[in-house]
Amino acid sequence: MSNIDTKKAQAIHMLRPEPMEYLQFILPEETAYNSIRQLGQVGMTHFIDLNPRVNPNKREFYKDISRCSDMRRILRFFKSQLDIHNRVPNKAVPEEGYRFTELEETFITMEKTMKDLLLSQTQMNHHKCELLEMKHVLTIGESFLSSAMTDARHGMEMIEKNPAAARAMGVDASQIRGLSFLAGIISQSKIEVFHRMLFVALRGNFVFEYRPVPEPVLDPVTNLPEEKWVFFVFFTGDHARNRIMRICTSYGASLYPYPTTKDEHIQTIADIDNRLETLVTVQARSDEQMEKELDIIQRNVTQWNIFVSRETGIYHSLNMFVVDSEAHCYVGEGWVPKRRMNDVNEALEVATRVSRSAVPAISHVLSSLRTPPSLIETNKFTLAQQKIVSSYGVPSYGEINPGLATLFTFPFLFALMFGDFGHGILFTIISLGLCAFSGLLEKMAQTSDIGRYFHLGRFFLVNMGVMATYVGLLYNEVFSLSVNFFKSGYKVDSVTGSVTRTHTYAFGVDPIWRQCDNYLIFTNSMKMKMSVIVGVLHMILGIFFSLLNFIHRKQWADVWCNFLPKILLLLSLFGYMDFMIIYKWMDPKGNKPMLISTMINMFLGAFQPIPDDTRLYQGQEVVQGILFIVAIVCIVWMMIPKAVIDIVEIQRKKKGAKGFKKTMIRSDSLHASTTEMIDIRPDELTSNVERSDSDSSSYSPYHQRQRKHLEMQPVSMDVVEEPEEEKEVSEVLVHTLIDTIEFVLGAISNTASYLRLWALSLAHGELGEVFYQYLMILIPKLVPVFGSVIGIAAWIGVTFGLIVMMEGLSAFLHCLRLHWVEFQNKFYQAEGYAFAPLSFKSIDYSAELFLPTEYELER
Amino acid sequence: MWDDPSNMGDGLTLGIGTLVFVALALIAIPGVKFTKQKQIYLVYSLGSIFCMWLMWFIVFIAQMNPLIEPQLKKAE
Repeated sequence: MSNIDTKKAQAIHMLRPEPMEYLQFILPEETAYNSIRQLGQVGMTHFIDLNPRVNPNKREFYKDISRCSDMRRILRFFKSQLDIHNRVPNKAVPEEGYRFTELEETFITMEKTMKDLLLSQTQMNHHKCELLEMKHVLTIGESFLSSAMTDARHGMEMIEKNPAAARAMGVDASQIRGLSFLAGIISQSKIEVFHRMLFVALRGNFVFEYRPVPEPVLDPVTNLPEEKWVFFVFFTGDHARNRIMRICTSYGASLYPYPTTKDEHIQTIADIDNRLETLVTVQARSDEQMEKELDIIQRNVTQWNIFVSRETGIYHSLNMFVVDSEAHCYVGEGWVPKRRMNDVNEALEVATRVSRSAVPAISHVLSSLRTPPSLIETNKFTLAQQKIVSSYGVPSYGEINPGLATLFTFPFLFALMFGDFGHGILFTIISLGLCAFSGLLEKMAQTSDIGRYFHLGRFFLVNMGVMATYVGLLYNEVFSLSVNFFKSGYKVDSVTGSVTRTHTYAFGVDPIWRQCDNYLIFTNSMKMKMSVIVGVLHMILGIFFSLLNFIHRKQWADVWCNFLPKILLLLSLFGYMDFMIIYKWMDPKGNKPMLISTMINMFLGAFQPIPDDTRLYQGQEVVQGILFIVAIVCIVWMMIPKAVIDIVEIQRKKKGAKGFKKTMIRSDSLHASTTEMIDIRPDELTSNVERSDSDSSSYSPYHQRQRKHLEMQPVSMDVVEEPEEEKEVSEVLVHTLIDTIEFVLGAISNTASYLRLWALSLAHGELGEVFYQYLMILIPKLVPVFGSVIGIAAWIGVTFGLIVMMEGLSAFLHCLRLHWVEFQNKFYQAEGYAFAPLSFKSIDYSAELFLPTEYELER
Repeated sequence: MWDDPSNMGDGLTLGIGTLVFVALALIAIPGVKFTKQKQIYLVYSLGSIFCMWLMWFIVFIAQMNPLIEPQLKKAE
């Protein structure tokens, strides 16, 4: 259901879904885009897809839509970059001057720039890490290798100068010359395995030296700091070298070239330092550029997103139009609420003016056999309740919307089950807190579902809390204790302990009951009777709504044969029971018979005289007898006449039909504006456009040509086109029989179902009392000092978590069930479909939060 | 039934109580001109006031002619 802007609010009618008109739009080519744009601003047009069987790829504006989705992809990329850099996009500023192609180009260039920047940044990071690692290898290697190096070099020089002497020493030049080494770095976790692997591969013919790097090193691949070790492998031969290099790659060890002379060593280190310096400056510059790009994005991304989402919406709607290439215009159809027709026409005028077109964009009203969509406008107070109703089912067009009544019945029934003054106040305070922090909640609502529910329902929860507080005061339960605001009606004699009654406690349950053993007996009786009274009243409201529905659709047969027997049955059985309850309560002197037995005897001993000690009032036998007869008559009345009427109608139709007959009124048809039966003979059949009058002045030559287009259209699958259900006699009989049985049995079971009002409030009271007794009274008694602290802390915790939250949820659920089943099965059909206009308001809302709009979810 | 003296006070309370709720309703009705959402306001306010009165009425008459007497708990 659309949420209208309360600033330019018009009066909301929640009783029924808004009356709708079916408009046909004829938009000249140059005005089309602007018209849809203006209509989107108004947000009150539900377009009908006139090309339902056309493949999305073949549609007129397919290219524009794919361009839009490309732009959306780029925008998502921009947003993710903003998120990575922890920047929050600026709020949207209304921008009218965007041009699609320009924006597209901007996006593409910016995307390329950013991707290049990101790539170079990663590359530079990688390079930097490698340089740092190499520096570590060099510095650490220096410490222990230099001595070995000089020895080896010394040895080599000696051998070259004096080969004979070396041979005498037994040192072979080739041996020394053959000794080579590799230097590298490897992470700590792998070094042991690496060492072992080398041992296996080189069969022990190697020397492995390794030293830890004192500080954690940024790994170039993972970009995370790791503990690493520098290693040197000394080996002979090229074969070994290859093997070592392969092992290094497989263990993720990085090898670095090691300088052989000391001078080279110093040079390399200086070189590395230089390169690191340049790298740092280049990185800084590239970061600066990145920041500049991000600045631009941060400023504009929300507006861009809104613009692109709107464009997507506009093109999707345009795709639903039919192209008339001869007249160079687009023809479309859609539903508009009657009250907003002026806005729509104004929008088209504005569009015509803006596009400076000679041919105006026009709309005219058609009558349609389709069922209109259901729109119930809501504001932030009624939104939650209407959503709850709609999640059961969207109201059919023309039927009563339960949401209006639920506004006050739901909190009331909830309060009956949750009634406790203290818990009610806690509930109210919590929900007022939700209202106060609604900004924070709204932020949470974007990511979590529960946050969304609490955000939407905050006013509703306050309502429930206030009612619960009131009823809690009436039940006289404050955290399961009683209060004594008015004078108690009972006086206790302190000496004898006997109780005398003076008057009735003015507001609620008398506080003396809390101190009584038979407290539960009293409250149970009162609450059970109260549940039944409230239940019967609620159901009467439901049946009354069904009457309103029948009158609205002018189904007089149903009024006489459906509504009347039902209401009379309910009144004569359970209405009478309620009457007896109230009479028994208000009668000071009379008998107080068990009402259950009275009700049973009403049926079993129908006309027999009632013994004096169980008689409630004079003339009871007569009244009960009459009501008994009325009940039986009603049951028969529900079954027979309606079936007869339906059967007669079937026979009449069978006799009169010659070909394909369409009627506009069936027993569950909901279009209230025309009531006559219209026979359409096959040769006159046009697809989905039907005129109720043959006024040819409203046929523009354009329209006639256009109708031919529509004749070729495949007919859309709305309610209208189904052939009249061949209702058979047996089907009608079975249907009415089931309906009757359902209602009669339902009357009993539904009334009993309302006893859950009693059951839950009993459970609530008992929970409260038990926790109070144990936590606040018993534990402080048992445990000497800390007992009170523990007890109070535990009691507070239990009160919030268990009683307010869990019981609140439980009461909410049962209240929901009572509404959805016992109340709504009296009248609610819920066969409608929601009004889904092209509305920039809702598109903007999703776009601002970077949530996918409805058009994207489709794809 | 109505000439029982002990019930006169109760009858008075009933009357006054009902008048309180009627007064609430009468106060709520003119508030209609301050709001655009007339239908919602009227249905909601009058419905709630009716429910509140109903609840109070039921609880009151349930105690007017008590069916059982309170039995105090024995002091522990």
